[in-house]
Amino acid sequence: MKRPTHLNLFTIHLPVVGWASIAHRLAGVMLFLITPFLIYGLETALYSPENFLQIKNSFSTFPGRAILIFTCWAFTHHFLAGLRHLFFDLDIGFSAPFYRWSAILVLAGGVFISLGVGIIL
Amino acid sequence: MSYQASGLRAFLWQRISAVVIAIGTLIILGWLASGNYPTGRELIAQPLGAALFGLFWGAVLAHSWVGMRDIILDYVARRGVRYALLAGLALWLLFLGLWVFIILARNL
Repeated sequence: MKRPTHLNLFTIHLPVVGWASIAHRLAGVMLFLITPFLIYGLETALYSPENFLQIKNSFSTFPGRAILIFTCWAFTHHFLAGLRHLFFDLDIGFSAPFYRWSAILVLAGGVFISLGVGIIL
Repeated sequence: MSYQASGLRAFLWQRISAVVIAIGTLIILGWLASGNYPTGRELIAQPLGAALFGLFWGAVLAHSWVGMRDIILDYVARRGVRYALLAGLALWLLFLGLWVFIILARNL
């Protein structure tokens, strides 16, 4: 059987719900890849007060800030999208037009919260 | 279909661990934001704190297992590669678990 294999990402148009979903997965993979660095950071921060401050101050450098914002986006998006699923499990919001609004809210929430954290911290 | 094969078990694990991670992350972020080094260290030096810290990381690793396993099952069709990746994932997560355990043991 020959299946259609049109996988050009620039011509595929996902509905917003699809974007929220694939971003949920993508953010999950990002968090998986970040995990060892988080454990290392936590280990260092717990080692001594000097090391704690060193980790804290590293968030003020440019690469530190960039990593922080990306990690924050991955976590916030994954968190909000997961929360949306938990509501679906309780039969809340699983109908039109709520499932679409909540997807937009999840996408926007992830971006705004992570940018906000990047600016405030 | 068995309980395991239905995917209900993975579904439940994913949700229970998600709630544990959500609460644990808020506590850890609060510690980092407070900038209070001794509090965090004292928290996990107690048996209860250490148990909660272990529970948090256990939930993270279980959540990672279910999520990454699903991705491998979705995208990797070739059997040998699939099983090799699953085995590698399991070993990697066990290594991370051991690392967290060592951190805990050193702080106790």
